[in-house]
Amino acid sequence: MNDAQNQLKTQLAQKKRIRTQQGVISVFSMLCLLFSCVWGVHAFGSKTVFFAPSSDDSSSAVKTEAKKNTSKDSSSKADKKADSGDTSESKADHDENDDLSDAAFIGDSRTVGLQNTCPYPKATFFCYVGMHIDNAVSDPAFTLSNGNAGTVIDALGEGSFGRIYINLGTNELGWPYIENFQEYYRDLIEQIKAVQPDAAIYAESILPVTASRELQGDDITNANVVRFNEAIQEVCSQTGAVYLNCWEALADANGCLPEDWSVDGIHLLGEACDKWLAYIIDNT
Amino acid sequence: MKKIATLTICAVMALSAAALTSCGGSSDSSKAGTSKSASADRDVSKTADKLLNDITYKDQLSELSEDKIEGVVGISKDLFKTGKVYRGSGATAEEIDCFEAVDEDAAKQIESALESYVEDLKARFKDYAPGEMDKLEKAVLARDGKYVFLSISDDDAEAKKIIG
Repeated sequence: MNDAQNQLKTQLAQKKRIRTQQGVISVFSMLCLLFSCVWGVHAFGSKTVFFAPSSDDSSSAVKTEAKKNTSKDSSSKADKKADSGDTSESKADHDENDDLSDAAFIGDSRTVGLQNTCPYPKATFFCYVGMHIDNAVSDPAFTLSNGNAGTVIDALGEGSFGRIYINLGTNELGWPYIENFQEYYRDLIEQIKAVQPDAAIYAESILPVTASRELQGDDITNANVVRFNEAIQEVCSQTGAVYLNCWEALADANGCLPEDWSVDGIHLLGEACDKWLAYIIDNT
Repeated sequence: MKKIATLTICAVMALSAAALTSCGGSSDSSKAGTSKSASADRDVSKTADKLLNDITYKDQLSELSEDKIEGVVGISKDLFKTGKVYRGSGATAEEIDCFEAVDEDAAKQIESALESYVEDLKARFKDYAPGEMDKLEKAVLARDGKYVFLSISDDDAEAKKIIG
């Protein structure tokens, strides 16, 4: 009887041990599965959050056109130029010593774009979206050193510049009386002379627009650009300012801005801004 | 046995959740458009890049070098440790500004400067390009402790999600 009881106890103990082992194995299996899931989700999520696709990433194929145009750093732009065999001049091809530290750029939203891409941090920009030739000298759009708001003339007067570039006129292409444009332009140049008598003043030509932009049917046409540029040349001959024909650096054989140099037909993208700035440096 | 297994699973799940929370740099729970006084460490450069890459822009945005930020954005370099700014061609109001300020007071100054800047942009674009006003009205400006973020785009919902 005792033998039978002992045998039964042994069998029960073995069964209990097996159940325990099975339980432990099950728990470990579940833990492994859980860890795998958590790790997998986390790893996937991290890639989505922290790793932006590079330009040669296969996933970039689903990007929009705007994203394809997006420049992330100057090195990638340089690589693209090299890849496409573009031999246009870059900053490295210019006078390395010219850091534009004595240069001031006055202009509208096109100059804002130049400011954003300009690789010369010492250049000074007095520009804003919607600047017009008639409000340039009266709009207190700039913060002066004393914290007050001042006009472009007030702001220019606080510094010392060797070269001052003006790029205005695109926003005025719809003006019916070109004489008014010339009058305001002359006034701007004279006021600049008064606060910066030793600076060379360059009146830049209005830059071309794309052929597709011309089709919108308003006054922003390349014929109008040419007409207003002739008016600026006249102002230069009257005031002693230097006419700087940046137009020729950006117009194609038909006198238009190439379509892929702008998102709206007017404002210049990075590569076009590089050409614009290269022309300025090479010719002044 | 069942109790041990249940307790073990609960403990592992808690640990996993804690690990996920601590590793997720952008999982801060603050809402865009509001300001918080305390925050975990954040990488403003990665946030800026995510805003650039995960949102579709009409314009081409280019990164401003850090030595140009003071001159272009008008925020003193003494106010921030790290700044990453993307600006466009002038055609649109689209842009990205992300700063890690030196401290919370500096962050408040940056936030205030960007707030004024957005108001100024509204005044400029109102007549010049009225189509941009919707983006400006929905501009996402958020401060999270010493971090300040500004996103001007068509997709304010995605921007809020990214900024946190």
